[in-house]
Amino acid sequence: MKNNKITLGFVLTAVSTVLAIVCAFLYKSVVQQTSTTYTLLIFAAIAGAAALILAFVLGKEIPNLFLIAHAVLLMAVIGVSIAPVVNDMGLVFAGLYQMDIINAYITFAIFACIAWLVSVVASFLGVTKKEA
Amino acid sequence: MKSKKLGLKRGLAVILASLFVLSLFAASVAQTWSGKINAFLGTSSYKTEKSGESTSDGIYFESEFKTLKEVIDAKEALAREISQEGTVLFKNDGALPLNASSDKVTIWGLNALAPTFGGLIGSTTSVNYEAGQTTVTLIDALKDNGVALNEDLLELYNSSDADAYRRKAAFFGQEVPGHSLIPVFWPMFETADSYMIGEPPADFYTQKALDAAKDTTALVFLSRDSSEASDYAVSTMKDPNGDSFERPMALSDNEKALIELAKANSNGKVVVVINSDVTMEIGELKNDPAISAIVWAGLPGAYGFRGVADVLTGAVNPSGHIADTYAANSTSAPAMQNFGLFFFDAPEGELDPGNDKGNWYIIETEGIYVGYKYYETRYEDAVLGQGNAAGDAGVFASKGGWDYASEVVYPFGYGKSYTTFEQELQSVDFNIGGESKAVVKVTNTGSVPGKSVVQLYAQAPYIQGGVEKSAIQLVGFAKTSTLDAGASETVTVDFDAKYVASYDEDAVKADGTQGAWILDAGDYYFAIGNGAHEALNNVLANKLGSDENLVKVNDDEVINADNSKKISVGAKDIETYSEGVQNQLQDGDIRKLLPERGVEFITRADWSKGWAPVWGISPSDEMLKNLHNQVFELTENGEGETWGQSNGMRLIDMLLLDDDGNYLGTVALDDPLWDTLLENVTLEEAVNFMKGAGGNFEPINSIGLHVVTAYDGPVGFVSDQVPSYTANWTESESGEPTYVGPNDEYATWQMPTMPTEPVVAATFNTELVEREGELFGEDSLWSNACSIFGPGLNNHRATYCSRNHEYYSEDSMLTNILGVAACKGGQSKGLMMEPKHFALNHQEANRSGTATFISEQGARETELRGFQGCLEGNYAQGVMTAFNRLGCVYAGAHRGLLTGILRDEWGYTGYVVTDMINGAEYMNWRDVTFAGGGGCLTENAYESSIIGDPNSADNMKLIEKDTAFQKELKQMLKYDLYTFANSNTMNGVTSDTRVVRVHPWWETTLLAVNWVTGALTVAACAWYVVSALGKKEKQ
Repeated sequence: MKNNKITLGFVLTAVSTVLAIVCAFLYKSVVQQTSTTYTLLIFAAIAGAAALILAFVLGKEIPNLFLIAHAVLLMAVIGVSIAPVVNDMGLVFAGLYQMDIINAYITFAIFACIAWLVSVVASFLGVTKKEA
Repeated sequence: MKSKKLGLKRGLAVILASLFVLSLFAASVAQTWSGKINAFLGTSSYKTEKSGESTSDGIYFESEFKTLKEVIDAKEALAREISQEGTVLFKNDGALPLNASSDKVTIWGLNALAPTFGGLIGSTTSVNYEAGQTTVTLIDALKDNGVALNEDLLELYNSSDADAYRRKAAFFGQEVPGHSLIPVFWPMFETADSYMIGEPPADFYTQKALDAAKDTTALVFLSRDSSEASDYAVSTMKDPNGDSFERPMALSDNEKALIELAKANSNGKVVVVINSDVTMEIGELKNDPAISAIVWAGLPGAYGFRGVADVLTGAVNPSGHIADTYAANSTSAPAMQNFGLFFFDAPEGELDPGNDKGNWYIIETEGIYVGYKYYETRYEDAVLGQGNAAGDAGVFASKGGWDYASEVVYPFGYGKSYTTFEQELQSVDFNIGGESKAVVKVTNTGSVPGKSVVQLYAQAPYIQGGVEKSAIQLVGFAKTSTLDAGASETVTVDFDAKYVASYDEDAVKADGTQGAWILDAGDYYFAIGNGAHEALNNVLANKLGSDENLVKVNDDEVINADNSKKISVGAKDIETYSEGVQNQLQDGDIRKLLPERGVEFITRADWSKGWAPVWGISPSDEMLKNLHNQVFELTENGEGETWGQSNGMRLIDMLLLDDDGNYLGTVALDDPLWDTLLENVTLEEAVNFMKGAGGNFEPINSIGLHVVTAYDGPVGFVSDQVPSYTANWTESESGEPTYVGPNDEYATWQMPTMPTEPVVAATFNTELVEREGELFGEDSLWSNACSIFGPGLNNHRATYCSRNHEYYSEDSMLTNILGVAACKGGQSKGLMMEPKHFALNHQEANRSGTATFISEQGARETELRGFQGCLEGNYAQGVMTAFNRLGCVYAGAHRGLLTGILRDEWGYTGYVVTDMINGAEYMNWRDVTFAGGGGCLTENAYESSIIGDPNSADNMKLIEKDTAFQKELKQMLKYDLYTFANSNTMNGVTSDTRVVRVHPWWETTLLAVNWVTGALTVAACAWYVVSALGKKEKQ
């Protein structure tokens, strides 16, 4: 890491990047899928990874820009993925569907939300830290 | 420190950007559900504006009423009348009618306090109690009719001691009295521990209550629930309160105890009232001399018990006839052997129960032998000693070999009266290719006035081992006016010889195509009777020259050979009713798909065959392909269709008006003007319209089409979609004569109040049914809701389908005739009637995607015949397809069914729409469109289709390249627009009307949130970037 130590922001970015990849696998079990969600997850993971790699290469603020993209893409994942599930959620809450139909989505969504929260915290901290 | 500040700015930018993204998606999701949100909030996203240039009032369909109150009163009165004529008297030893002045009545049965008025889901009875609207129980109605009731037992039933036994289905998080089924839309079957009969045990009754019942007439109330998305399980169960029963349709232990208590604590008169649309097992009540009378009330809606009370008290003479066979054992029909859950035997993971919903199937091995067509045909063969009819196979209630009298309690079409009628079949004209009719003289030979139903049945000659034929089939009916004692009336029953024909899948016509409607050479018999059994006995007496070996199952049955006429046909006819007809459903016959499996169907040639449940079907590769929905695909082909022109034509221009602006109809469908109109529509508009064409149809601005509304029925617009008469109106429409503003006293009254379809069917009265259609049309005019999903026209294949309450009957011809009447009535008011569910929606268990295998003859002569009349005659303007598959192809995407039969054979010109989409890929819009299926009831079909997101440029490019797809799309759109132009949705639209997009407050709010979060995001990002750059410079 150029002029930098491994920071908490770096670790959290790594965690949220891994979570994004985990989400992609979890999403395979979701009944109500959209291909856009996969695309966004891949881009989110790439953005996270880019932030981590660039932190080694460049340091300073540029890697943090990728961190921002990483977090926003994760939010987009949540937004895109929820649309096709709304109908089934309504039916489950009405007692007409069994939870089975949205269980996989809920698991996925929990992981996606955690990934986003972690990325937000990471964005406050930054993926790099200037030496004192 | 500065680094920390930068981090804060960065974090803030991330949070705001995320919120901005979230708000964008929230707005997008809200837009998708805007119809529902608008309905819930009472808002609208569109309004119509007039420039004032037109002098027309734009009212093309007018109400016959001046006020909404008149509409409501007319519906209440008709509901009462339908129940008066739909209540069926099964048994009466003189206890009925009650004498209101002298008979004190004890109501026995906790369920009488909270009866089942309609379905829990589907045909749900809804009223707005807060607004003063109410439901009427039999208890209320009897009191209103002046009957003195024993209050002691009612007091006990009303006490908290009874609370534990009351039926209360949990639904939408609330307990619903009068119901006990638990609907589930996911793969399901009613489970053993979830069903309550709702009657307390004998020790619940106090001595005081029993003593008070002595010397009163006992009225025992028996009830069974009905619901969409649920079926009864065929098994012995114990309900949660300790009651038990051998089968759900049999009397439970507590019900039997109830009846014994009633018998022991009465004046000797015990009247049983059946509140059920599923046929119960009541043979023991019929045979019990201590039971004085049995009355079937069905599920009569909010006000129908008034009609039942009118029958019980003799205010009206019963004239209803049951529309289903009451069998001794509710599982004895061959259809019941293959009803329920059957799973394909395929390698693990090969079939997907999620998106494909391709794991399950049913095989309708009964073929044409549904309901009475089984019992009566087997009866004839038993009498004639042919086809092993008297053998052991299919024996459920008989001792030894099969015996009609043991198996059937009340035959299809049976019903008694307080008077007696003599019917004389005077003549029958049977004209192949022409009009046929029977003339019947009816005389009231009793002492009180009453109406009589003339039921005309036919028997076509059966050739042993040849095409399957029912020994008797209803071909027409008529109802007399009220005949005074001694009075006579001659009625004519018109019928169509094409409905006497049988479908022969192997027949080859002159043009070389295979499959035809045939009329074999031989003797045809036409007979009348009080039900199918009496009519068949008349035929047999005529055939055999004696009634010696014939079986009667009711004491008032009369066997009269003269009430059967024989007409001989010299030569076999395979052409008259076969123009344009050929096999279309061969891929639905499991025997043809998997001949090596050797699945046997029920056949007259040998009644011992076809009784085995068919488990573990292993699908072939071809079947798997369809179960995986690989039916159609988008390709690049042909020259592009013309879209997005600006020739100035608008939908209003297709209406034909006279010089005074009076509505004369519309431009004919085959007129090229429609193509000119359609050229104005853009491809995007067409896609957006069709993908959601079914709920609230999206407007098409390029041709001036406003929002068209469609809602569920069929007992009236459902209250969760049209919560009030005022909900669909906007202020801009307040000038219309049927506008209902929020201040109208009856604005919030609810509409689904009418009796369920089996009750309507039991009237055998087309005038009443047409009138009901007209009043649905009035509801349409006064609520600004233009299309109703109804009537339900599936046949009652199996008793245990708990959705039978949404369909008329086990008989497709009764369904056919009533369907025509209902749709004609609605059409006369411009209401788009949309029969459902086309076709073969015969069970709710795993209904989504169930591969339904059936012979083409079976499909055409049973299920499809029920739909044929109103669709072929274009009395219905829409038709909703079914959830299930036909064979392995989704019914809503089966080209043979939708294009081959519906469009090409029947000439149907209305629109087609899918049923509610539940996120499953098998109901995808690509296949629906290619098959000629039309629009999607909910947008999920589009979203779940492989075409995918309509906003994706890539996917639109696929559609843009596929001209064949576009042609289908345009044709479907033409049907939709043609139908709209012929409906009351054009009311209020004139040549100067413009559809204007408006933003209801919730849209504005979301938009504001978008802008605010967007602006803050930009500001935060700018702040962060500037800070970051400034920091860099300092460094």
